[in-house]
Amino acid sequence: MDIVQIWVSLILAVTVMGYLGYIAYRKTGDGVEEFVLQSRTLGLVAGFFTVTATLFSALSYFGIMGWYYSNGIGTWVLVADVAVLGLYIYIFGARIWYLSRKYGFLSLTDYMKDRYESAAVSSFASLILLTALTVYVGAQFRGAGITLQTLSNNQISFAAGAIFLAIIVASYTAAGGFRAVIWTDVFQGALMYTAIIVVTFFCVNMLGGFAATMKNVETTAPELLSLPGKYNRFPLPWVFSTITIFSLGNFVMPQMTQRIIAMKSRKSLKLLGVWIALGAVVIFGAAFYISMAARTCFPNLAEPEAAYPAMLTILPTWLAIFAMLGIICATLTTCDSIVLTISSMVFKDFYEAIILKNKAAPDKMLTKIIRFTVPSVVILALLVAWYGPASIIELLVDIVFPLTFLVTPIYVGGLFWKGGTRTGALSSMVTSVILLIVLKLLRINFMGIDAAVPTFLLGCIIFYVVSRFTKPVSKETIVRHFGDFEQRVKTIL
Amino acid sequence: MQKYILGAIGVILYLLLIFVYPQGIYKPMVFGCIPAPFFAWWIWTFLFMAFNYVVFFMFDPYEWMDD
Repeated sequence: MDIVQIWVSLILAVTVMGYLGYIAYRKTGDGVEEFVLQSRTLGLVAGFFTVTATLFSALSYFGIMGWYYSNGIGTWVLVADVAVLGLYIYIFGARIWYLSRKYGFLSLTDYMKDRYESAAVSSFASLILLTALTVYVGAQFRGAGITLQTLSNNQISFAAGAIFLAIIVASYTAAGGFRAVIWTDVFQGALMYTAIIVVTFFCVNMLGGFAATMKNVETTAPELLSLPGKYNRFPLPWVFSTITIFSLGNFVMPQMTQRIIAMKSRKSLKLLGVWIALGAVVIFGAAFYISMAARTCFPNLAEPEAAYPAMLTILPTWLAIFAMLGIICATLTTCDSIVLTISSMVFKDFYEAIILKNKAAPDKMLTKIIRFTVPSVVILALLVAWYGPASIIELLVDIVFPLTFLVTPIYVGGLFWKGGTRTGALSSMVTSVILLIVLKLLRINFMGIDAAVPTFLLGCIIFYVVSRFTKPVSKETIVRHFGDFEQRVKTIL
Repeated sequence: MQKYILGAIGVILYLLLIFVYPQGIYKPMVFGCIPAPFFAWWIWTFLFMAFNYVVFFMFDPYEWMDD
């Protein structure tokens, strides 16, 4: 693809996003709640686009297609987790949504600080999540860099592509806050869905239709259509553990909580929980057929994650540009959401909690903190993109989701169990993080189950046992967090 | 009683994965182009969505929040 065409289309898309970001900036009122949660007025349609666009990132285009390409249909396990995630979004999410509206929590860690009466708990949880999220953003930049490098036939370097997108994300996120992120997510999400659907039909038609495409794969690589996949990549215990880790890990992701607590009504939250899986079906279903087409057209790619960019090189120019913008949008939507979330966590959990010693900062400080945080996060993420593991999906499967998964016991436990204490929460997180690092470094798993699962179970046990023998939180806090639920819930849990 | 029945249905649905996970088999191709395990996954996903709908709208544990 011609380098001029690539830059012109990128600049046009960025102009549209910049315009949306500018309008959002004009409409953004004063106050931290308005900047980081759009005053809790997120509707269903915007919510669906922003949540799914945030979920389906560079991972969908490179990692997932790379896995389909090299290991086959077992990759769908990462879709199944989204259906389970829908259940958590309402059953767990409605509680945090309610409490956040009632007491003004702005983020997951903001809630934890109040629930456990401890800035140490929220700051340590923040540290875990910030580490995971920075790696997550790094994976996105790597995806963007690979795309532009491949499509331009190395005329645009990996570094130039990644840095260009990093600057775009940093600019409009810092300017317009949550409202800008949502508006651009809707635009980018619509473009992302349209692009992947059109590309799928085009690729498959080039090969004579869906049946002919599958016939080719059946003849040349039938193991890709079978389970547990080539080299036994997807054994059943691994499938169960991965669904558990990814569904809970995605739920605990701070950007997910941010969207849940920003929803304007409980009905919207319910519908989001039901329909979110449909987004996964579309994206990952399309990814499967594109990967199988890539298997037919490029059967010997040295780097499986280049399957999608490789397919784009044989599409008509207009469609390749459209598809490239789809990838870039998927990357940007994930990055902007995470960068904004990280900024608000740094503001609440480090600046207010540690530097100001739990005093509220003036609203104007938020802008200053964000201007400092956004470039810092972006630079760290770029370092991950350069020096992290070679595969995007390894970054996510081995680091990002296992880390966030470890925060689940104290998050969900804090929502449903009155007995959780500050010491129990801290012990759980510290022990399980250390154990996870050791198990991952030694590459130990248990009967095919990811190391994060036993680590998580240990974290639950430590949380329970230590909480039973340490000082409980005050009665006032318990009443605030559980009073309404105990008196009024017609619970099915 | 409702909560136990729903919980049991949820667990069975989740464990249904074991049965939609026919190892080593990809035939028949459903509609000529969807490998059998892939099709089973679609069905599993839509069943889970339906389960979520039933729990959220017919047995909503948080109905009181609208008060």
